[in-house]
Amino acid sequence: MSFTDAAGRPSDAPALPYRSMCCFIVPPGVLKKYARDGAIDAATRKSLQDTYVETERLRGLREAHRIATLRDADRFLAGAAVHVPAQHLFDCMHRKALSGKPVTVPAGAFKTVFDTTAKVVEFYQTVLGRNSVDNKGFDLASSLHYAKNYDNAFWNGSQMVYGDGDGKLFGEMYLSPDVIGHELTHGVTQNLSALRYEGESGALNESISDVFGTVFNQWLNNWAVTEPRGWLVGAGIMAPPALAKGFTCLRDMVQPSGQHCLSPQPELYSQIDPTADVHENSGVPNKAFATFARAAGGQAWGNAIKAWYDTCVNRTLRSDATFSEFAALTIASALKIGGAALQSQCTGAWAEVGVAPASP
Amino acid sequence: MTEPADPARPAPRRVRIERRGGLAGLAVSAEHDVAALSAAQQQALGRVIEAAASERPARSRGAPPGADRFSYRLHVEDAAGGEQVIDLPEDAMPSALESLARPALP
Repeated sequence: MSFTDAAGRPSDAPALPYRSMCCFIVPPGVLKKYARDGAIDAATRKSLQDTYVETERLRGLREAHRIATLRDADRFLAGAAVHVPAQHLFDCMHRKALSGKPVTVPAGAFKTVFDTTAKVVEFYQTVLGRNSVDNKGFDLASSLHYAKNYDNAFWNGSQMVYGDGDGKLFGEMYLSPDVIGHELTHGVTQNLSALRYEGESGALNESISDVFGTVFNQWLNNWAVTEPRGWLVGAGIMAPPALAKGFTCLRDMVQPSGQHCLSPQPELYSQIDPTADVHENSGVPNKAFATFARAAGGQAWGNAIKAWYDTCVNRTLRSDATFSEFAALTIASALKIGGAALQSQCTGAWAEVGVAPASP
Repeated sequence: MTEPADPARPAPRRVRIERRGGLAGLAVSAEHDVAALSAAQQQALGRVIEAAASERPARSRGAPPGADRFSYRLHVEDAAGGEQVIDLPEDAMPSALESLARPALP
């Protein structure tokens, strides 16, 4: 039997590098704005200015720490033997205790998850040259049959967890290969930029999981960018009642606001609500990637995903990045990966969703 | 009705439960008369209110690690007309109350 530790990590799994966190309730931009507001008394403005300076100092320290951690990891990796990631499967038996009962001989649903997870590892290794979520061969744990009628799948910081759905909206959540790719990619992001899970950075975190999840599904099925099914998120988890009502997916990266999406999303930056859930605002960068990959043509696991991955591993991608900052990095990556033509296609894709890239 | 641990605190009358997040990102909002809840649900709500009032973590507080988790916000209206807003990560939400905020097909 295996249990999680206090951080929700399986006790028999290797520890993920734990990042120090430093979050601010009041955005620095708000502090800065009111520190310069003549309608506020001088003493309060002085206090706001001092707080703004301190938050900027702490943010600089946080970024320096993150980058130093990544560099140390690379140094460690250079001299280490390559570790091939193993898989661990668990049966929650409809309870909520993680990780659940170990499954030693995968069959049925467990074999499906085992095989698809192995394919995600192969995708990251062969297409992107990455060894599991941490690029050091991190062993992957998956728990199935989580809770009762649980209509969700999630990454808990160290493993993947799948519910069986409620039978009305969703069936078993592992039945879409892109969902397994999506959850595993959250582990990749956690080990790279650690995009903060709120606001625009949270929407980028979600979008990156949708992008790599769908491109993994395209690679798995050998679908070109012109195949509409390749851009659907969660097509395999929709339950018969939802399908009967015309909902064929959770999200569609080509047409985020489509009526066939159970979770329709805004398509333009000007339409997003900054306070909305991170899964709602991810439609804008999702559409930017789909537009970019379709303009590039061929297969999305060629230059298009390589440009996005180049941005994800870029040490200047901050954990609190905005759409605008992310766009600028992808455009630079596109130039590096595919030259001026790919750069132009990437620039055009961001323009189509109304995101202006940040100035360098 | 749920008996509050603090006799000075008015009993809860209505509760609105909002759910956000999850892989699907489907927002759910459902309002219930507390008197119409089951005994187990009333007891679970009472424990959540008590923990929030005493600022004692029900199980865990703050955003949990990872991604695609649910999060809950409870708006509790009491018999005296007061309202209390309680934010709960998925791990701190009692199972008895989760079923009160399930999404339905549009």
